Amino acid sequence: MDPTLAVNLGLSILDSVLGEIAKLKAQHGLTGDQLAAMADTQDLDNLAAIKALLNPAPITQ
Amino acid sequence: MVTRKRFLLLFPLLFLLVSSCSQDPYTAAMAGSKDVSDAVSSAIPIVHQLQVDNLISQAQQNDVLGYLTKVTLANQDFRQTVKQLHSSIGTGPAPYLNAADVFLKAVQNQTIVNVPAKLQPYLNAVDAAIRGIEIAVSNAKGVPH
Repeated sequence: MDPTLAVNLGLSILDSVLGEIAKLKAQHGLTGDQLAAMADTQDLDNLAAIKALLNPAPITQ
Repeated sequence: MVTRKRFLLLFPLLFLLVSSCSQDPYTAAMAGSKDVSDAVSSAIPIVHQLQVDNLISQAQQNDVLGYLTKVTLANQDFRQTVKQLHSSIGTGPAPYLNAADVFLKAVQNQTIVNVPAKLQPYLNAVDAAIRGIEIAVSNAKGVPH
């Protein structure tokens, strides 16, 4: 593998991992009630997105 | 590339499992439930992209979206049960483990045939997140808050 490509890939992975750590660290301090509220919202968003994929809006001309 | 994707998808779960040691069963259960919601949320855009690229059949879409709907509804039921347990019992993990087991059994019989390769790691992450709830609750030790 090209060394530059390898370094860029490594940095990209590191960046993603650090992002995940920051996100999870923020989530880690939350209470059960706060996590439940976040999951409630996320699930409603997920169901709406799934419904939209199952019933795509008709293309208007 | 596949290894990287798998790592990025499973990393949050591994972190959750390690961090759950300092959580109480209620918080661990809710964190696990949130992790399932996040995993479903990650899979949905992939289905959409496969639709746009015409790389998924109607039958596959119905299977996958049916599965994600079932997981989401079961996850909502799980949280409802956990909330009731939290308001009515002590701190022991056993009732929460039972609730997690019900959640797992509600979705484990759903089979999806011929999943597009691009989507498989995301469905694996959903499955791992659901199974991870039991482990997270088992490892929970803290006091509820």
